[in-house]
Amino acid sequence: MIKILAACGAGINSSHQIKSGIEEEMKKRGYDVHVDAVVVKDINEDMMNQYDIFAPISKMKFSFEVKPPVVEAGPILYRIPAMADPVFDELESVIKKLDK
Amino acid sequence: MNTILMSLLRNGIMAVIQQNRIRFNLLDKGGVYLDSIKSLFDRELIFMEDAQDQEDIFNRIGKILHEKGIVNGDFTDALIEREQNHPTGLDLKPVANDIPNAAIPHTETEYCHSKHIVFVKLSKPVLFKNMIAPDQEMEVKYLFFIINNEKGSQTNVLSELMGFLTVADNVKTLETLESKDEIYQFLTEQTIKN
Repeated sequence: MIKILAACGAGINSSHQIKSGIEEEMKKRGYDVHVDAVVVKDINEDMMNQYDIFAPISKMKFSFEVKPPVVEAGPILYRIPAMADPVFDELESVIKKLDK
Repeated sequence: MNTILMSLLRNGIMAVIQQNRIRFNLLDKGGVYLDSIKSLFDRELIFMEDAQDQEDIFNRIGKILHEKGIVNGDFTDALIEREQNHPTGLDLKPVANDIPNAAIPHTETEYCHSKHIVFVKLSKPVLFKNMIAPDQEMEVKYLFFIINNEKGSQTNVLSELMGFLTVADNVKTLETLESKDEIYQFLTEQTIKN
């Protein structure tokens, strides 16, 4: 099971859209993933370290070092393959490298 | 008594027609429609504005929404600050090269008193940063302010709006509409391509 943390700014639940997009597509591609969706200001170092991959809506800065590999997932929100597929491809290649 | 029965019957029939229409649309085109968020648009919350920049339009719309009791007095400042930290510009180039960009400004639920989508067509574009690449700036002409007072609800608003905006013809139609009435009708009554 691959654990992924999706994150966005508060307000309209973009991270939940990212979560459902990733879960749906990665399942199709045959991977067992679990995605949690959170608001970026709720993330701390301990939480981050519990995940295999960090998938924020866009590039984000933290006061601590982000250890999991980062895949920017914002383009998934467009819900069109030309935007979303490169993100899913990158996720897949990162998952393969995790070797879990 | 008869009138009441007639009205109940009529409402029932209308509800069935409406449901079938939604089902037909979904089956027909396999997409998601503005149908489920149509009720969030309001004729009084459709604007055509000539603004100097992003802060100008945020101040104008924030003032009107506050006067209408839709948001509280801190809304505009919160909106401006949130836009700086988490921008909401949507680059529509991936959809088509010849359509203007949009944005979905919003802020935390605590500043809002109700649920609405406030639509603004700008006569000339203003600069926004890209939601998915905040270091990029772009010109934006269509604003969909998302007003939401309940945490955890409205999860479909973003996906519905995205479904709408990623069809180039929808944005092209907005370009041709010159009155608030036409825009309101297009957003709420017409069957929108998706």
